[in-house]
Amino acid sequence: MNVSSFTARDLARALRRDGVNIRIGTHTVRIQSPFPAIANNLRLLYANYPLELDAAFADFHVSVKPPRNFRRWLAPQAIFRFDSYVPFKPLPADQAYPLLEWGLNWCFSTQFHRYLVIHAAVLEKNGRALLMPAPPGSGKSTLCAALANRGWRLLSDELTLVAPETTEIIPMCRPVSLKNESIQIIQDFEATVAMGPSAFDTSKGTVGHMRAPTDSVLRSHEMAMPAWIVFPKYEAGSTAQLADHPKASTFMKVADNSFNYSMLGLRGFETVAKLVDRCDCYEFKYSNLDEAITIFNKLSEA
Amino acid sequence: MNPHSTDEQGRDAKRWHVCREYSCYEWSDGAVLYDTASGDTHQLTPMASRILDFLRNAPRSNEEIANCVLSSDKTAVDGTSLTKVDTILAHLVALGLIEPIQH
Repeated sequence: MNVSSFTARDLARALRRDGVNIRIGTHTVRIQSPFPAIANNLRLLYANYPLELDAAFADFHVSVKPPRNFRRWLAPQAIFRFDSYVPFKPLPADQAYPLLEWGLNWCFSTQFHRYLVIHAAVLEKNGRALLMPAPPGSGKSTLCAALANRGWRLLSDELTLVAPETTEIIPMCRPVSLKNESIQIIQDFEATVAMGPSAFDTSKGTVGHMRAPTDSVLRSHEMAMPAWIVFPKYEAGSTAQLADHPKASTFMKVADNSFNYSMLGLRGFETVAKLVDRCDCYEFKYSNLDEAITIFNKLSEA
Repeated sequence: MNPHSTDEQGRDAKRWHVCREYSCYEWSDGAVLYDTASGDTHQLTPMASRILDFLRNAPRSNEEIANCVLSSDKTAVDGTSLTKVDTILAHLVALGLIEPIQH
């Protein structure tokens, strides 16, 4: 049974009561929320994900609910909870859905220490994975969304999970978070893309989520071996250019972009070293998505 | 301890050794090192990595290290190497990876 098997009304009711278990790749998240926007967004953006109503186990139990005080009615707010823990301050209720997505990112990045967790987009083609670690504002998610709409399998737009023993990448395919101009850029780039409604005036500006391609969702159990580490950088007016990046510097940048490198100690060091060792490493600047895709497709065919 | 603070005579007499447990990965463009005791990670130039290797095998003086560098890298120039070695040793001391042998 998939999320789309439910009517909007039934899904909203289940979310409001005991919650629903949604399977994201090899992990399960139990979500509870009375906000209609959460039900509507889940139904649109997680349409192809397996859903269970009464599964016994979930990796995370999360909720997005209004507070119990007067803010329930006056300037309504939404609170994200992981079990009973509240990691963030409440946000305006019209940001309930982005809050859920940010909360799930927080869960995966702070709780999954059996993996090395890197702040990086990751996609796969011809059995080889492309990692793109980058800080916010570098154009990582825009490039990731474009590649995912041109035949690259999306494993994650935000969090790369690396198995320390093998350096395999564990898919965590979820909607792609786009910000500000990127929302329109991707809608113009691919007319058939399914986008959730935008949330305005968030801490990141306007935020919208793109539904992950169906094939990527259906193949969420397939691991991928890393082949390339690329540091993307959007530069207005630039010609797309891929340049070698030294391995030792790549190591330091990957470690910097990891959420739990220090926590994993020697294991983290060895995992990043093995990862860098097996990958070709580049920096990449671009301004045009079609040019970028041509370059990455050539890379995947080499 | 800073090797620059010693005079020529003192520098030649002093011998350095590796004083920490570490893991290291090397590539042609440099190396990374994990200090097991502190949990710190350091990026090293290829020459710094090579010098650390020399010291791991046996304690050596600045002069001996410079000779090792010269014999392993024919493109290195005598005087330049010794200056470079001094700088790199100072860096490795600052990272807490090497120290002078106490007599």
